[in-house]
Amino acid sequence: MVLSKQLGQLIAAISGLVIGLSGFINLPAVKVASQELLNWGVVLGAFALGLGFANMLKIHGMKMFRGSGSERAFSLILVGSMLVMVVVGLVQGIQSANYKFLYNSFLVPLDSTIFSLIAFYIASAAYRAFVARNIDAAILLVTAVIVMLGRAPVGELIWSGFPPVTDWILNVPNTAGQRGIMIGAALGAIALSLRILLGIERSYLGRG
Amino acid sequence: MFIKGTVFGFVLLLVVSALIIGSILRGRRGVLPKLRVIPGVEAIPEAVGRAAEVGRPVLFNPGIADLTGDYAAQTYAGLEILSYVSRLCAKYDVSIIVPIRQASVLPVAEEIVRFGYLAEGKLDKLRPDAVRYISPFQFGYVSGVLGITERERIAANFILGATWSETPAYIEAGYGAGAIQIGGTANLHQIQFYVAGCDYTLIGEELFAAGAYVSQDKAKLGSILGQDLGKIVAVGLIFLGVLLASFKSNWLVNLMNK
Amino acid sequence: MEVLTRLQKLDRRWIYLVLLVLISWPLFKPIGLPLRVSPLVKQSYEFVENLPPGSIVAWSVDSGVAVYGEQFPQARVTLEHLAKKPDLKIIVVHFWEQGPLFFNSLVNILEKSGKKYGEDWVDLGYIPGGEAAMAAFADDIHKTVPTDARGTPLSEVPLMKKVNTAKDIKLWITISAGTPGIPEYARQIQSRYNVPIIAGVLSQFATIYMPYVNSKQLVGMLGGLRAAAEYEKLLGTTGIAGKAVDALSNAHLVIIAFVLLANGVYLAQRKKIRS
Repeated sequence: MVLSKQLGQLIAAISGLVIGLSGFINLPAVKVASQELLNWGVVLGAFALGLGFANMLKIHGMKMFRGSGSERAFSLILVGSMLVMVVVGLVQGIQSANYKFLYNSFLVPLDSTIFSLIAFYIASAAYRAFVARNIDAAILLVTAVIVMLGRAPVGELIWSGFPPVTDWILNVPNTAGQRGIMIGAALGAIALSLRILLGIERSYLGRG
Repeated sequence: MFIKGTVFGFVLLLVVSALIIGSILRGRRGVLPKLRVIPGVEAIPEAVGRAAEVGRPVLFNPGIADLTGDYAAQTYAGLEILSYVSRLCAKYDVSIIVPIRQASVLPVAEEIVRFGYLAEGKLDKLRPDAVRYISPFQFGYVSGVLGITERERIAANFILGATWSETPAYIEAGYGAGAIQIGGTANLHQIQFYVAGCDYTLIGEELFAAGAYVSQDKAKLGSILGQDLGKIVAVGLIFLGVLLASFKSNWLVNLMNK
Repeated sequence: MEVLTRLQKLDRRWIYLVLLVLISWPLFKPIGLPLRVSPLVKQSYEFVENLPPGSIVAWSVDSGVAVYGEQFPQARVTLEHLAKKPDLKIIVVHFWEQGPLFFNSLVNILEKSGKKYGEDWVDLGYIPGGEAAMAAFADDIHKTVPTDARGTPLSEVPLMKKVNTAKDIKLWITISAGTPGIPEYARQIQSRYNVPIIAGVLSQFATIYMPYVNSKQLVGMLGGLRAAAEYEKLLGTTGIAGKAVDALSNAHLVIIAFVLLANGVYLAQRKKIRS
């Protein structure tokens, strides 16, 4: 148990160091080692996909047999469609007409549909959140209204000054704030990465 | 030996790393920084407690990024906090649901949640479908999470990790379920949705510091000081750059391009 | 007071219904609101216009079908522009697996343009591997992509005899939605080979990538559906973006109206409580 914990940390440290160095050092050995590790990562990811498949079958299999009415139906549809895609893909290939038909007719429209819901969610979130309860919220509200009007053609009809004011807001205070957050987030990522590489952070091993 | 254009970046990385490692060593010796309160982190026990009161589950969404790549740090940060949340859920007998998009995150999340329950001696209370792989497709995953949020009527919604355009969907679904929501990401283009929609938000580096903050581990807390020292270096470079640019000097730009 | 409480607790579905109606209506009956072309879109257009004859342009869709609505118009209008310039040579390549799906819907633009496949344009398809694939492609195109998307060895494609590395490419247009995306292009294509890049991005990412424009790593950028409509205006074509931008205006107005309503209700309630 102890050995596997320390081995996991050692592998993480060495891998992280090699791949980190490959971003700066031009030595063939470092490049090759880094590429090899990344390739192993891709292979591990592919095996992990099998694990995900098994997890889904386990959970939805349980619901199909022991779940209530609608749970059963949803799980049946999920497992059924999953198996159909897997069988068609394996037997006929992912370039086959049937696979492309299933992909283009089901996956593509469903993907786009769920994405298009975001617009509605943004509208209801705006109704809830953009209320001037205090000075900060008031600034947020005014800025949001100006930027929305500046980005839509109708805004220019109301006042021709909206687009240049919007451009200034986006290019100056917004960009400045984002750069600040970007710098902070990058430093946070470096600190977390160092904690992982030095074995101080072990939660990814499941042992806190 | 160095790839063109990376020498300055490498030296800067070494400087920042030295500052962080120095702070970690100081932390281990007991010299700890005084941290400001991060409201989002302080609210985590409150959120889990509320879920315990109403008898409804907690949803923990570690984001949709992988364990490798540019956004991996956010996934690790989210998993750090999952470790804390799962222990709290075990302690207060609250169900936890962790939907997963990237298959490689699945075994890690399973192990973290399992260990959290084991540490509290409540492994038998862990539901077998706590950690669920949903879909590798972004919006397939989103629709799965929306369904879970609605059907399970979650009481606390944690969205801590790398998320993209789907963020408003998680937040609105959580609001519709009546959940208390704590969100955080370092993806700049999504922060506004968290700020507008969540009860508590962790912005950028607060997400990375949160894991250290909740653990109260001396070494981890020391690293937070290192981050702030790195910021001082960054601010110093910015001032120097502004000064030099004002006098039309390209010295710093040329140095950074080495 | 009851009215105010009801408005405060307004069922979200009313908001969704109003939004649905007002977004759909201009798609059937366009309003035709005037559209100002922004400097960045004009800059992108003029860069393509001023390319020397015979320039080789790489065009890629590094996006997914989920954002088809916003990025398909960008893909279409940029490809149309390239197709309209008879002297430009085009290499179609993608680093996202769903890129070919976009291109399959647009391939007739090139086929009907008078450009000859193999001499004036070539489709290299999707190259898996993310940033590593991008770097490998930039270093040695023939080694990374032995055949084009139709199975022809690259050595037999006349256009590809003139192109070996990214250095031979005079402009790269990418319609990008995530990773690999702009930062990867900046690292592997622009900074190593000085290839100018024009990016079509989602509107929510436009401000994130402004630093790349300011530092001239991007020579142009199309941010969202509106930018595609502006580009269509410059090109003198009518596409879906031009119609959809009226719907965009309506959507913004609806959201602003509801926000103002929410604030009105809040202020009225506060006044009532105080009195």
